[in-house]
Amino acid sequence: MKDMKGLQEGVITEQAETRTEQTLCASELSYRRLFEAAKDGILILEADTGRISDVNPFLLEMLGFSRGEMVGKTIWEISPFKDIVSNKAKFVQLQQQGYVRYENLPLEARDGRRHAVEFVSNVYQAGDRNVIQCNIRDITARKRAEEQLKASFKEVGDLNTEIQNFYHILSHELKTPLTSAHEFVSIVMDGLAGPLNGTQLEYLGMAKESCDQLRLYINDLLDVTRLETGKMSIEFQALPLAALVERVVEMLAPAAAGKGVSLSCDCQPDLPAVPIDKQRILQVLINLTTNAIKFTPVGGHIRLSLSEAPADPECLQVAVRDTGRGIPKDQLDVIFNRLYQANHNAQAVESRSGLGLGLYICQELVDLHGGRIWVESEIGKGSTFSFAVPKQAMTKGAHVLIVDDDYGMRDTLRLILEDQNFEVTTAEGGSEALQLMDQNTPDVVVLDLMMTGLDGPSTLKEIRMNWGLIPVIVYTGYPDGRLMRQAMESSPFTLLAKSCPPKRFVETVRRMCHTHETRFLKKKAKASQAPVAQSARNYFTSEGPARHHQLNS
Amino acid sequence: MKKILIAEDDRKIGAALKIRLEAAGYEVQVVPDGFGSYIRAMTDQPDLILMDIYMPVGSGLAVAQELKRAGLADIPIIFMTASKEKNLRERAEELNAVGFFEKPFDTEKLLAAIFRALQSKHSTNEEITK
Repeated sequence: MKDMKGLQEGVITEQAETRTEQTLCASELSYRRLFEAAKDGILILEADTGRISDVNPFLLEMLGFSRGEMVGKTIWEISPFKDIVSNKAKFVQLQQQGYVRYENLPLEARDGRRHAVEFVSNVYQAGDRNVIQCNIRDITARKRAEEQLKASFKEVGDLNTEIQNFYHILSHELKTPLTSAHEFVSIVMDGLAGPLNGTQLEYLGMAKESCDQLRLYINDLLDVTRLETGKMSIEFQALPLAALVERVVEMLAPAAAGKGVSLSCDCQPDLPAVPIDKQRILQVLINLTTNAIKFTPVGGHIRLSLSEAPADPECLQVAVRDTGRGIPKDQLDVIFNRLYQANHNAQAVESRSGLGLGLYICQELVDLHGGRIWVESEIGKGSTFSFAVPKQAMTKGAHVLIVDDDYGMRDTLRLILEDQNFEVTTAEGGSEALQLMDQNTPDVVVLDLMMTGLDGPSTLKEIRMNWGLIPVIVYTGYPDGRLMRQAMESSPFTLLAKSCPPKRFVETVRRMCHTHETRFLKKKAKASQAPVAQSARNYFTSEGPARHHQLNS
Repeated sequence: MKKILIAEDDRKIGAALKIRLEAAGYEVQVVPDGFGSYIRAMTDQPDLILMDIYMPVGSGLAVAQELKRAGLADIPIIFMTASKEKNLRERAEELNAVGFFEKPFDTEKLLAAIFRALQSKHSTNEEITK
């Protein structure tokens, strides 16, 4: 029985071995086919000696060597590798660590042409011996494409500068004649050119009013241009916000009194100084308060209040509350939109001065402070415009996760962001992204929509389920269609077109980082539902299809 | 009568300001370029200069700098500009400007600033003579 069993076992083992050999043979064949057909260079070395035991046709072609010239030689005898793996220390390192990688290695072919390659070596066990497999990918074309991309980015940057200069000149050229028009009208109105009758005075008053309107238009246009070209510079300074609120109330008290409206403020004492740009925050306060005065009827009240944000103790919040006629519900969503005025021109234009860009500018300026702006309103009762800014300046080196299945795009975005001191990780698909996020939650996710494997919308859905309102920038070349609609289900997100200038990209990422870092959305979501719903919508509309169109044009 | 020098290259704005300031009781000279206004300031020693920033042959800021070097730092200067360029206000402040106005300016505020500047200059001078 024992023998039989032994025999049987022996037979079984033998059969198994035959099968394994067949499998090995088959896999050897397919390995061979891959090796021969590979569009990357492959080099097989004996691990102990460094002698080349095999080389695939692609690498021979790339380097201009024949098979005979390479096989049997050590790698450091072959000229293209002389200065690289040649030194034995590197080889020892490879033997010890089993892995060596060069991101960008220049190899010189026999004909003198230089190839930029990515060089990865791994040590494998093959039978009783160790072999080293070197994968050599020609990245010359990729490098060139990257350089072209960078060059075109630079061109866009130059174009931005040009546009900026153009607007400086435009500003000067428009304002100069406006100044003299305004002046001469005032001179005549003030009777310096002789007495006027009532009708003349009235007509000149209208001309002067138009001059004032034109001035506002020009300023708004310039601000928007700066915001859109990323040239709006913000200079942070730790300042007591209360002083600015009080100053605006003092400044606009005459205007309010002239309209028969009361204007007051209420600032919580002992608040810390916060990092803000004085001029820009003044601009926001003046804009919101001027609007309130405009829309509040005689006998109404406007109250500015400053306090710690009820929804987020990390922020200070300013509210401008009026007893005006209120804003219709359907307009609350779009009131901060740049195109608001264009879409609601009928009643808006007659009642608002300026181009209706004021609230859009406010929103962008508050955004640049890492804050949020929103509105609550009830028809017939009044409106409250509030904004909150973080108490602490944003720290540097925020962590960004880039998810894109295109290597070139991934790498380019990484370079752009690293250049701005961001910490960047990249994932080539949704699944990898989610894994990485599990290990280390980033501050912002940059997400492509069209990816193989887990696509953008599905990834976004997972992110929303597990990471709540973490800021996501959907960075896509395909803003329309099915994927976009699917993604919308997991909004909010910020939409950016893939062709957008790098500066705009960086700025958007930075802004989103601030949002996350102040943990503004998260906390707000817990504390109060209404404002977050509002700000969530703004989130989308502020970078939505309208602007997208602009980017592409 | 107080003498005011207006350095302004836009003929119309210069003319409008001249009418305004003469009506307010000042003696006014208008010079349309930087170098010209420097020469005029040196020879006339006005009580105040109303200075445009971007002018041919020397910007207002450069003229102010030169006047300072030439020992005329005590002539109060009010700058005005149609430019939105960054830091112009700060640069004007560094030159001890007594005012900075963006065009189009509020005429009443401009007149008030001129009045105040001349008043305080007057009182400083008196203090010095005392």
